Amino acid sequence: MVKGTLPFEEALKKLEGVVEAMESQDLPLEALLARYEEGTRLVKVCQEKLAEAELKIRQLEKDAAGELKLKPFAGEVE
Amino acid sequence: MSKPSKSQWDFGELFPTDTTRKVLSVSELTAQVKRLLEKQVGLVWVSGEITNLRTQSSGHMYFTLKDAGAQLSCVLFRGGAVKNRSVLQDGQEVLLQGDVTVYEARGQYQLIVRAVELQGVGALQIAFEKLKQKLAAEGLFATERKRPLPRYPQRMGLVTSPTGAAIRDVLHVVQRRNPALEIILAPCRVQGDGAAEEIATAIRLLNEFNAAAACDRGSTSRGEMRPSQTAAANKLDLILVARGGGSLEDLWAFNEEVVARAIFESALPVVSAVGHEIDFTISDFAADVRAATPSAAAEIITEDVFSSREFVAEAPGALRRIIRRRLDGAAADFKQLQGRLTRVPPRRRLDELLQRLDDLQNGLLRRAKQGTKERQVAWHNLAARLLRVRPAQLLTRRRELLNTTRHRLSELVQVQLRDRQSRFSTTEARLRLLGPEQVLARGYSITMDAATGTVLREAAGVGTGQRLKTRLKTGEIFSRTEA
Repeated sequence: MVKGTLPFEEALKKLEGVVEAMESQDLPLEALLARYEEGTRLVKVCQEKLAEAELKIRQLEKDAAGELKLKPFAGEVE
Repeated sequence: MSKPSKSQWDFGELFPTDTTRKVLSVSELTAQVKRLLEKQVGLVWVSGEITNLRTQSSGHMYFTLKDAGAQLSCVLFRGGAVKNRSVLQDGQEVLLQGDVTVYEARGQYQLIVRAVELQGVGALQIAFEKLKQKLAAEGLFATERKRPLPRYPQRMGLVTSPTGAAIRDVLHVVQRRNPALEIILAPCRVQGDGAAEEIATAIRLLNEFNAAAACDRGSTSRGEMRPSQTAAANKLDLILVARGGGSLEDLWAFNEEVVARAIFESALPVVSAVGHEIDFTISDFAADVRAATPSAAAEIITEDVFSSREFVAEAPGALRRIIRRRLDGAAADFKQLQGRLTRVPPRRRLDELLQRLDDLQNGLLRRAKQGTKERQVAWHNLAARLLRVRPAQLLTRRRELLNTTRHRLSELVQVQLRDRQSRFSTTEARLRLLGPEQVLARGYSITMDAATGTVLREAAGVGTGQRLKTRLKTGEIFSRTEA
């Protein structure tokens, strides 16, 4: 899977599963290290998704022709 | 002015007072007043605030209607077919229709209430309750049709005023807790005439937008957006309907049926956040989730992503801790094993164990072999014995044994017999040798007392005339002694 294409929710669930498996199961050291690497990769995916710091807001309107249009938000955010 | 001057037409008391005065009894006067009031005032509408309400055991209700300047006694008879009787309570602003009359016994004028209508807030509350009951009966508020909110929403439709306090609060919370949550605003007025219709339209618009996004999934965009933001990327996860605090009248649009129906029909889950904590609106009941305030709504919507931020932030540390703990544990195990190895010289210990193993193995083999051999010998013996013990042979052998024994027995008897005969002969010869016959044969004789048979060895003691018997080798001589 290409890095970053995994939806946040899936990446998060996988990460939770990895941490839980590492904590609860008596994995052989090699499997444990493999999980560790997978977990580290998933953390990166999640962090990238969460890093989007700028709020995106657009305004939905119907024009005269009855078509839906998205416009930049007219008001002020802060 | 000191004294009112007397009229020129005042002639004083021309007639006795009992003929000029018209004296009425209290009852007559009261009756007159009553007639006057009922005729001149009669059925009226009057507005005011209810105070001092009391319901008598008779079922009649008595209260005072007041405003800033005056009070009016009111009575609502039990039998009166009056609607909204239940809304009467102290402090309530009401519009009353009733007959003005006089309660003669007390000389008190009062309003006999025929109709009650709520005014202002009261009227709205009644409308609210009625609509709530109606929509509840239709199932618009049924808990089983409440949908859960997506835990990790990516895009949210927002129905509110673009200039109100609500949008500011919502954006603030989203920016702080999940800025990745994209917001599509469907602007509308949130109070005043027509606001309810605008709110309903905005909810439908967002649903339309979402449906279009779902249909366009996979098709190429027309270029006004970046490739990652094709129509499919515009799918909404939920809708937030929000308005800041205000009076009941201000919030009223959210209590309109058209809003409730738009929420009910929404394909997307709807969160309703109108007013403050204490305000409940019809839209709150119809929505899938009710939030106390717009800020609270934004917190609920961003909750899972927000808490996952903490989890994601802590995950690298947690992963490292687990690995560290495991490695530490392994190191400790190793150390302990090492210690045990040094306490027992391993090579020698192993050799000892191997030797012991060899011993045991050999012993086991030896015992197994020996056991087999012993059993074989025993078996052979048994077989041989069995061969020897064949019955015919046994019988022959027994018969032989019997013959032999019989033979030996007869032999033995003859030998014994012969032996006895020989011994007898010898004994006879010896006996003969020792017996008197030999002596007698040599000429000796034996003399005995003839009467007693006593052998006489001395002459003394033998009397005269005694009868004697003398034995010779052959025969005997009888004789008598002489003097």
